[in-house]
Amino acid sequence: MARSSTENMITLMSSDGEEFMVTEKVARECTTIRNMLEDDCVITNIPLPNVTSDILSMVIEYCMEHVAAAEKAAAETAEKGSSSAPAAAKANKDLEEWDKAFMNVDVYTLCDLILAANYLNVSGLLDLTIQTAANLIKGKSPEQIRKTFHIQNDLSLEEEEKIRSQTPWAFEKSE
Amino acid sequence: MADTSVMNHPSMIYTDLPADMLEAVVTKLPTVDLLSASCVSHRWLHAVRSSLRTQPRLFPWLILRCLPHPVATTHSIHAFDPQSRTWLSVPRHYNSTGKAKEPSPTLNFLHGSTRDRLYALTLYQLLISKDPFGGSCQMEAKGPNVWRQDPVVAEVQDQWLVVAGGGFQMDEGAVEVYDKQTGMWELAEPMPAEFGGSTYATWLSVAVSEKRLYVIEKNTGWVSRFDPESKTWGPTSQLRTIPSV
Repeated sequence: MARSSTENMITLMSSDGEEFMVTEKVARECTTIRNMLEDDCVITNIPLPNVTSDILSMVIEYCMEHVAAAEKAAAETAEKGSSSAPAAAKANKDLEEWDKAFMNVDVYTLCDLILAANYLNVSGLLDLTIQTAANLIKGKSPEQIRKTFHIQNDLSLEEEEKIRSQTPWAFEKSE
Repeated sequence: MADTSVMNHPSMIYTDLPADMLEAVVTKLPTVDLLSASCVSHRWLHAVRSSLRTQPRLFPWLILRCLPHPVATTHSIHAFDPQSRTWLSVPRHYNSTGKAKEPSPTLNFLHGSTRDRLYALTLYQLLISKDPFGGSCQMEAKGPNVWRQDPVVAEVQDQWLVVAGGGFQMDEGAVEVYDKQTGMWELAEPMPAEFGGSTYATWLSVAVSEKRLYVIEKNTGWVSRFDPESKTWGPTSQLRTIPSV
């Protein structure tokens, strides 16, 4: 807590050269960056050649929100001795709602976010984006999935037929 | 008809997740969606297969048969997949890509000795699968010679597959042993007479030890054991049944 006013600032640089100043705490949400900081503690400027500025700003937004939520929960616990269960449940729900709204993006952005979350190793964001992508697939036909993700079909009709016939009990969803 | 507008659009950027990310996505899918996902493209097919290899969709499943009416000939089978918490209907017939195929075999799901396998008996063959997607379809043995409605199935020592009971009239307690090495079915000694009238899987509980198969009749408590090597039964004895069990 005492450190918060004098907390180190880290500069993250996107692939297109834009610089983002974040607190060390936020930067540490990315396991990849945390490992860099632990290896070399004087580092203050980190280039991220795999992440564009619009995607990096989203990743930072996610990390800041989650750090803020964790700090708020910790502060409440310290204040009251123990956090009240309903308050913690509400905070969790609020964060879930925030995540849900945050995931309201097109598939291109979603795929870029998956790549960035994987590269920067932000486990919460990776889980969230992967689950969101899976939710987009659920209940769709192969053609609908291709349309959603803009994928070119490179399977011939015969190949598709073969896949289906090889799975004798590929069950259908109950009505 | 397939929609080709996406493919004809040269300016369209294709979303192309790396293989490991794609696998992570399909791993999150409920089992019911895996077939659709595997038909999207070669890359997706590989992702689904790879996902099933590393994280097989295993049983136990809850399989429920619904008989809408006692005399109805069509009944539906539903399966609950605990992994994705979804109810699935088991198709009595399956056709692919909308085209009508030859009349497909009736699937009869069997009560097996192990709950992590799915056994299905059709007119022509006995199918055993480790996962509901058929991805690790274990074997497709030619069906047993005696037609059965509701037999018990057990695998012993990974060599023999024993199918017992569930037949009709004279064949009620018929037992057949399938040798996985020779790929042949052989008729064995029928079930002991004490099991008469209740050789159906509904009344039987089956367990497997290292070398033998044990069968207990749930109502009367008759127990017997079967040795697949000598293909004989015995000894048969009666356990005292506790009514509440």
